[in-house]
Amino acid sequence: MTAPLLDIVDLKKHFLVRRSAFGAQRGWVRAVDGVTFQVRPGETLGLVGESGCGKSTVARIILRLIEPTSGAIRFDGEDLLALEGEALRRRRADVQLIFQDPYGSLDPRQTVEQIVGEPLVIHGVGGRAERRDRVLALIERVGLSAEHLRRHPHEFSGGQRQRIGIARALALNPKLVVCDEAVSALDVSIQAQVVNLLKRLQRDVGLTYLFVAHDLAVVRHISNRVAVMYLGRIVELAPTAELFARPHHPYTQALLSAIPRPKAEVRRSRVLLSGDVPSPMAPPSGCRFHTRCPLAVDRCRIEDPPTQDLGEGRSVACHLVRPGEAPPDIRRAP
Amino acid sequence: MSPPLLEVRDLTVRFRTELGEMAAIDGLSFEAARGEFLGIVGESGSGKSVTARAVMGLIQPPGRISSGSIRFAGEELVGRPDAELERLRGKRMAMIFQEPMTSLNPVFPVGEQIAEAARRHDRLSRRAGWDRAVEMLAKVGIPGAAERATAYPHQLSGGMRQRVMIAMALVCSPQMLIADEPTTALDVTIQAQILDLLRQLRSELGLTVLLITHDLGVVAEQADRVIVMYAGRVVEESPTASLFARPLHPYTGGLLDSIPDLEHTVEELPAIEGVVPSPFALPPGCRFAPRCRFVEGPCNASEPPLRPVGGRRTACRLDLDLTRS
Amino acid sequence: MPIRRLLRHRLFVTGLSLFLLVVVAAIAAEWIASHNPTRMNMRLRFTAPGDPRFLLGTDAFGRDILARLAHGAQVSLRIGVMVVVFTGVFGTLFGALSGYFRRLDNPIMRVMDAFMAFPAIMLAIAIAAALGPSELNVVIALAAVYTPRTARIVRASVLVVREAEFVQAARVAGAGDTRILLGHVLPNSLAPLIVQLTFIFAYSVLAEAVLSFLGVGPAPPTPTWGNMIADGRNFIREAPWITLMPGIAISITVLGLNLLGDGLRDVLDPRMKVTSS
Repeated sequence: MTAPLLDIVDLKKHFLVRRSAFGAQRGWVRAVDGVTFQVRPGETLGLVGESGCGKSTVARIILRLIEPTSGAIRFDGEDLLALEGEALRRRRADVQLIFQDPYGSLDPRQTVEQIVGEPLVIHGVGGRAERRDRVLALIERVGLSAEHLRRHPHEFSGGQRQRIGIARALALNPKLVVCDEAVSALDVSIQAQVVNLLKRLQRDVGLTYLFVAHDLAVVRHISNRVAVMYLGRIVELAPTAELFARPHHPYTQALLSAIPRPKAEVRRSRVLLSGDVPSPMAPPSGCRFHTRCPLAVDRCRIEDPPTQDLGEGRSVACHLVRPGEAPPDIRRAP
Repeated sequence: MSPPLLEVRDLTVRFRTELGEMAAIDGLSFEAARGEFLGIVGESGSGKSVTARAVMGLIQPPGRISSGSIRFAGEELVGRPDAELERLRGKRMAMIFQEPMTSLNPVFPVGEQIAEAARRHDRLSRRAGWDRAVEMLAKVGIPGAAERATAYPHQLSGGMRQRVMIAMALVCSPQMLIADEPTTALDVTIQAQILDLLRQLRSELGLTVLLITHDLGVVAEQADRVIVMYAGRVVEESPTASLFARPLHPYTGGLLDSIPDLEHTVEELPAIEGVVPSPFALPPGCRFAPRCRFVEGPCNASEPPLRPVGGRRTACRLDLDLTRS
Repeated sequence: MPIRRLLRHRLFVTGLSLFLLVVVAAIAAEWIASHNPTRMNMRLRFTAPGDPRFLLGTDAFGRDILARLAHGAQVSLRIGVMVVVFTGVFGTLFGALSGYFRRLDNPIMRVMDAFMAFPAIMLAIAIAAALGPSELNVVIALAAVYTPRTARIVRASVLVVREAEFVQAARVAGAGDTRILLGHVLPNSLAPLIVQLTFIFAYSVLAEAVLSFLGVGPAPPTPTWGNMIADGRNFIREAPWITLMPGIAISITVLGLNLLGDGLRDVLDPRMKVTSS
């Protein structure tokens, strides 16, 4: 097996928050609370979860936009968290980000040429003419053309803006591209175009993606493996086909069951989770999911389940999952 | 058959903008029967939200209803004075929005806001209003309703707030509820709860529900009938099951195809190429023609009318077989 | 295009016209007023407006009011421009530094707060009185008064823009603080500053008049609008035009600049923009 491109071990990020205006109530939000996973070169790892589960925080830590509280990140064999100053700036070329919001992520005062060319300028790539050629090549690769170079972001639709953001992310030939809800803000018909573009680019250029999203259908379509997060932890990680065919963790099962399906004929018996996601300021004791889990037993309320490796690339953090036995099924909950 | 509760005929809503005047919806016709759950689906720019606001009488300048008619329970709403429409809103038709936080007043407990809505339309004592609020909160599935009624909006989660909005909308027992993207801001597991609640309330109260959404999955599970909108017009109208089994309009078909599904794996999603036309530069013929796979000469010549096909309606001239496997 | 939108904004165009009127008067002062603004002629004092030689009349020393107004406009505009330049430069500098670098925020803004603790005009009078009556000192006094207010506005918009995703995008691309601040944050924070500066221009014209009136502005016989009002106040019953004319000039300028500022705000400040989905 090849060495992982990105290796994250026990990553934690706790934010200090003041709840009232006078700072009377303080507390720690455990946005990311012990996350471990690897991304292999050339693959797409999907990172899914509901809002507040910490998936975007993980993405921003990898990009060194936020400093983690503890944990280790190795990128391409190098300790990413130890990098500072010039070394960090150079390393940034290898890890790029595609944002969710096609409106907020492009500087409204720049032209497309300036936006896509900025990374090249920063890293001193080529002369003016050479940069121009590269920007043009990038723009064409994402499906825009030379006539667009001198325009400003407001002249484009959401889908086109997202293409510009993708071209910018690819400018420095990164090894890893983090897509943070990269297609969530787009209309369905445009979303499909952009997803196809991302897949095609991966094939052509050999990119590695960390695809952070909440839409399981899109994640299934684009990912080789999927990690499911709940309240700052990864509860299940498995190859895509296996995860969707046989979800082991009760939360994964509930998440899949909750997706509204456009194909009327596949409407199945839906299992509704009761209640809300607990606050990450006061995560439940034991297993974090026990407050909503229809299968929870006493042990789940007391003991934090360890992540078990079930082989074949699947790992699950649930007391009810035992190697060699059929996984628990929330549809058979009492 | 009883007359429809809501009847919209040739409705056109225009907005004045810096680039000139444009029609956000153009010659829209549809109806909703009593107790029906009607889904209105479209992407951004389709005019679906403007439709909702027009029915509620909420079109404000720079927008205006330039022609057409909206009949609710036999009464014409277009041209009625604001004061009358205001009495109708809340009492006989109500609306919930995508972001409940902006529709709730942050400085009052939610129970008080529901009670006030109740007292605005029905003469109730303070006490009775409050009791009614607590009763409604219980009805929309808020646990510990009496206690939660004293909570302020920011103390509730997104899903709970949307339940509060539904409670407020239904407190005067309206006949029709318009839900404009009610679950778009919510997580999937919470979205499932809210959709389930809507379905349950509808059969319990005999409500007519207009569910406006961009998510075909949401209407598939909820609606009896679906209207698909594109660039300000209805392109297809059909009972839900047949819409999903055999879409008549290529746009509907394309939309269904472009959603990745959870059962089959394809290398490339069949996307609809191109973008929605600008309302200032509409194509001369069918508005979908520039993106359509099946386009033929006449499609570009004139705008096709919405024509009936076996109890359904489509705005495509062609008889296509888009049956889905 | 914002320029086309500005030109369609009726109030902005009105404001611009009024302001341009004053600018033209100042530029063409020598040509408009054939008289020397400081030459006295006791025989022709208190000539009422409408006289073919003195269109707007003369003052207590027989000086031509039109000539003094036009030359006064030069002083007012010069002071206004200089205050705007000083305030713009220092307000942007302090505001940008404290908004962008969190460590500098407290030290800089507490100093600014100390300045803002005094009523603006009192502080200006105190500074101008301490420095002595001259045009430059008026500029220094007003710049000192308005810089903290401007810095606050720039800081507020920098605080918003620095969190924008396109700023994060630049950081991800490897951009350093200088590039991010000068290339992305500042250009996108300038709209409220430009609006604010038009108002500061208006305040400066008004404040200059107040300072001159109180005798801490440019020394007489320099023709300034404040000096003219001060000169005329003893004759307000017999010759009201001596005070009225500069009063009108001040009003036109201030009104023009305020309308201009409102128009700019409507067009440039996205928070005020009305959108429909």
